[in-house]
Amino acid sequence: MRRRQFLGSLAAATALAATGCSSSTGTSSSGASTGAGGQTVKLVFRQFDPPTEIAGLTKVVDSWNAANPKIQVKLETLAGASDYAQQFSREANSGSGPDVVQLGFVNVKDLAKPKILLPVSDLAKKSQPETPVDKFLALDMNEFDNKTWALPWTVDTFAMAFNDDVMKASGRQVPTTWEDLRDSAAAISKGGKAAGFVFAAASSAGAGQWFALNYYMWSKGFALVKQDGKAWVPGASTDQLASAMDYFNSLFTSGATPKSFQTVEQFTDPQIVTGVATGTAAMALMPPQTLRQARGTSQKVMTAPVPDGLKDGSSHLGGRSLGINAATKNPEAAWEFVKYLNSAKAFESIPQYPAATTVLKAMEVPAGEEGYQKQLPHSRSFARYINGPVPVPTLQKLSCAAFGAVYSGQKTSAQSAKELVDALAVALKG
Amino acid sequence: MTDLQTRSGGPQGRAALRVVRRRRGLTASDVGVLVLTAFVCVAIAFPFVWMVLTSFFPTDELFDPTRLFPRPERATLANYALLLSGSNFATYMVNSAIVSVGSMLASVVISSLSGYAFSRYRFRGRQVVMVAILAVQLFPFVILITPMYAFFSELGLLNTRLGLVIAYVAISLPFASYLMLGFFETVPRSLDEAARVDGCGVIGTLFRVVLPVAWPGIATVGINTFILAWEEYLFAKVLNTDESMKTVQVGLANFFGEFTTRWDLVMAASVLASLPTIILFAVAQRRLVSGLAVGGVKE
Amino acid sequence: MTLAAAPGRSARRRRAATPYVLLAPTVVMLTILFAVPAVYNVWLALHKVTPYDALGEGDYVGVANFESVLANPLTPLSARNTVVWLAFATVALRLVLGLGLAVLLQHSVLRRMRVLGVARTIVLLPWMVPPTVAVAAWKWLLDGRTGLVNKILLQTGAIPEGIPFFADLTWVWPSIVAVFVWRELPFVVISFMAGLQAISAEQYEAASIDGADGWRSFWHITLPNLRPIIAVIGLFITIGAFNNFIYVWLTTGGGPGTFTQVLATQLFTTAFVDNHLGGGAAIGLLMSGFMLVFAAVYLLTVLRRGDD
Repeated sequence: MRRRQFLGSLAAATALAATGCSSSTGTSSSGASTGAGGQTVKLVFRQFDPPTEIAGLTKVVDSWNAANPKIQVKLETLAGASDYAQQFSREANSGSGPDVVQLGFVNVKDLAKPKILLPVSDLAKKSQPETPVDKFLALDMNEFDNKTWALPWTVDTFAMAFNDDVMKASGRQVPTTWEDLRDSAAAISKGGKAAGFVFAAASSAGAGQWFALNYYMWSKGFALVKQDGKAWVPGASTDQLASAMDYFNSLFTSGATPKSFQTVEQFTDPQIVTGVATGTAAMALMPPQTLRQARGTSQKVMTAPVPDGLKDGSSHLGGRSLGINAATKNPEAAWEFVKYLNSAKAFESIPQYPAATTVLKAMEVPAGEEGYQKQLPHSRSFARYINGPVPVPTLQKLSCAAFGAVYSGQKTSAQSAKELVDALAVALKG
Repeated sequence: MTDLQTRSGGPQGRAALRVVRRRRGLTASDVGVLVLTAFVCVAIAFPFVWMVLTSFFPTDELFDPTRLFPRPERATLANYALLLSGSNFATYMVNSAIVSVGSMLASVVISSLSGYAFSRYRFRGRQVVMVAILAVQLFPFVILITPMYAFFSELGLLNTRLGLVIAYVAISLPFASYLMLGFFETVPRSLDEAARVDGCGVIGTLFRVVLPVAWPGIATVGINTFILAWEEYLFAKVLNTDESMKTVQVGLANFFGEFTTRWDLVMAASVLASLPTIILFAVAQRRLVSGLAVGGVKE
Repeated sequence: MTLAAAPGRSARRRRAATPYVLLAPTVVMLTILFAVPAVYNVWLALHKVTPYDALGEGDYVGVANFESVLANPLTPLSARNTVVWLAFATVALRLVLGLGLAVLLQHSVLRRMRVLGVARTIVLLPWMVPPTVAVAAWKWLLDGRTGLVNKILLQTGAIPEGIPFFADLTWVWPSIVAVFVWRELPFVVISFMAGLQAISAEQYEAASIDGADGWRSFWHITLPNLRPIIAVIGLFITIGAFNNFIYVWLTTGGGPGTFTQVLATQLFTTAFVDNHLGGGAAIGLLMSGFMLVFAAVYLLTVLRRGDD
């Protein structure tokens, strides 16, 4: 992800688009051989992004269906279902469910262990996607037992989104450190027109503050859990965690963040997204698809790296993979479709950053998204947690509740930090 | 029970009421009761009224910190238009309606049978079965969902409306059986015996003679099951994933998840999701409440 | 009776079989949907198994799941919240308010003024609103920034900054209880109304001849007559409240911090967030056991006395 000459990238994109075309003709012939005897193969592809964000994906599926009369794909949406992975495992274990399924990086290992996905590394031995499998980002999140269980599809990270008008009016620069963020945000809030920095600070198990908490901790050199030789241990001392809790609590006490955000659960909450777009909030952390929604309301929303975001490993590399149901009756056809979704041609319509490096390099970074472009090379995946024995959702649950306990005054930071370390130790023991 | 007569007494009854009112007038305690009732009604209705009201306004009007109430001239149907055009809400509503009505009918029939058995027969194991039926209520549903999924999958009931009907009838049965038992207890046994003498079998006695008298039971069980089925989320989400088979609650949850605090849109969806039960209640209310009164005449 | 005696033995046998035939559909459905999964629940509680495993897969761990539940520092807090706020506060409030409203709606002046229908419809209105919707409506009303309640408080200058009702230690439980009771009260009211209708007018007339005032006749006639229905409704709503998951989960998710965790939310997060189905099943069994004891004691004391 280096800055490229516009012309060069255009050339590269054209070249890739051309290969994309040829590969898709290849696909339809192999599709015909898959559906031997002239039978039409029917596949179900399930995705979980909200219906308002999938216009591009729908277009991509439609054009696949038009080009491949023998392999017809039905797009199924299971939006809002935070437990889509468990739903899928229920189905796959009963021999049903979609043939191709979109998965968050963090869920792949859970489904690989009971072997209800087909390893794509096996399928790739017969036919590689446009970008060879070993040239994908975030492979570490998709590997288990020396096999790749799902093909990375899209990547993202959180950048600092800000309302340019509000920032200019305040006369402040976009902060580059966390302390700077608090001070600037508090000053902006004091102006009375906009909240300085907003984030989803609810205590619930899936609260959006999870990302901000980790970015802060990582930038200060610690984490919730870490590997110590062969063993996994809590990755931070009680004092370190307490200092992180104090920092986030100071956002509320300094007025940088209004207390009402302690009831906001999701980083996609309109109070955050519409807030930054309309200027009632100055800054918030957003992944690309959320940012695009904000920019849909106002072009004044811009991005910069998160505080300390240009330090390696201070932000996360997240994203989605495509998995193939182990119970599918048409693994080859499903694999063809997965390959197609990862092609440069498909990414002309899918408004995401591709995990396929060759496609990503060829991509033109959309206006306002410079923050991601600068930050992505320094982002690191949640593999640092996922390889350990504690599920990431458990870490999220424990830390959001522990931090929320401090904001609300249920516990002091020292007490809450100690309990968090204890809870981590218990969870690590299994 | 004079009330009942005046209620159903038509114009004469109403005329009589007017006479009564003129003659008695309102005492201080009457006024107190009226004021208290009005206060209670306002308090209970307010969250609902606010929900309906705000569903007709754009978000910036509602979020304006300087204004408590939105201005009438900004009222719009845009939230509803967006909701109905942008999603499959209509399909969800139809599915929910079919499932809820089906569950309602089946639950009334099946719980009538069991309630009647409990009410009219003293048989070995009666106590045990009654306690067991109550006991199944004790298990939290969430944890049972995995084995249930496997079971429904075996039977080919996934992504069908029938599957949901079966689940909802089962969920409704413990309470419905107890309710029907209670209502059958208010029906004099002499009625059964008369029917037997007339040559009715057990089923004939139950459905032709006893049930028609137990209207309040049917109405209560029916409405209760309808509401239960209309509102159920967990089974609906897990068992029916196909877009054409999803129910309102699943659609609503997705919608809430997507729009969280876009309160204008969320309230519009909320109003739509509440409408059918409100309509059903409006239609059945007379029957339900007058039925309750009839139930009171017994003995 | 003569009917049964006349045709002799086979008819008598048929008659003896009748209640079982009538019960069969209910028993079969409940067995398949609840009894079988409930047995599986016991199996789960003794194994280490994730939600991703196939049916019947898992390592036997004995009572380790129960031990870890009981050793969890969160458990006492969840248990206390469940009992105090859900099973007691919401139930007591519903019984008291339900009784009050039922009696109020029974007052003759409402009928005379022809406002009974309207009043009754309004009181029952929340029942027709799905719980998810009820939660949304209240969250909107109590929103920390744009909610009407906070707007009013801010404009009158009563508070300097909006109160995040669902994240404030003082307000969070009263707020949850308010949503819960608002939505679940009508069912209690309608049940009590039915009970009140069954009390004959003569009893009240006799009492008023004896010179009993309104309060006395409520105490000596209304309450004793309603006793059986209060007992049954009390049991059902206590069990329902004890197992209830949706109100806490949708309003606070157990927060702020762990302040509003209840057993049902702890069960859910253990099973489906920590991927520990066995642990969740163990919590479920402990909950069921507790309610079973409660129901047995309740049936033996409250219900029996009211029944016979």
